[in-house]
Amino acid sequence: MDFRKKLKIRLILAVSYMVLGVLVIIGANVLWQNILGLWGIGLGLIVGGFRNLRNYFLITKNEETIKKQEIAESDERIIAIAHKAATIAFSIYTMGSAVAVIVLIVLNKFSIAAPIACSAFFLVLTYRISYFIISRRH
Amino acid sequence: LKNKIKELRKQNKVTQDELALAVGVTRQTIISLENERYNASLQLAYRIARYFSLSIEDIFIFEEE
Repeated sequence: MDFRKKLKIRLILAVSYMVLGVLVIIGANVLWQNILGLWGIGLGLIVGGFRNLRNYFLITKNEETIKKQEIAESDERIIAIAHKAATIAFSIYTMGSAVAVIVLIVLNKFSIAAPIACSAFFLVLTYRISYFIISRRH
Repeated sequence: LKNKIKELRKQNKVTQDELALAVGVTRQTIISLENERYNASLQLAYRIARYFSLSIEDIFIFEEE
């Protein structure tokens, strides 16, 4: 996708987050009797949207900043680092979960072990499905 | 994989920034390539070779372990 199109989508998303955040806060006050959790979600959306909006204006300051950002986002070394980091995180998470589940089972804490085991299982399952889909394309 | 990027860059009086911009990577990637901490993809190797008007073999030296 063209980088300028990507930037436009980011701008639309940033504004949408902020509008959605305002709507959630209004909703929390008017419709759902001031639920604190919704206030948090609304504020989070506004702050996230504002941050993305600020980033958008920093990137689109001039042609040079746009080009630099485009290069930074498509730089093969940065992408390779991100993939390596994701691989390490995956290994640490699955191995850590396995150890935690074994320890918790030994300690008879099945109610805590079960959600950890499920989460690790779904992560590995997602990996396997993604691997299968990607391997068919390459 | 060894390379002569630093050597060629100095010969042609090109800065890391200029080379990075020309081949579409960050300056940090050029630094990593020059220090041989990172191996360029075939695409990037082509772009670097084309930039210096040389062949890939002239810039990158494959050493069998």
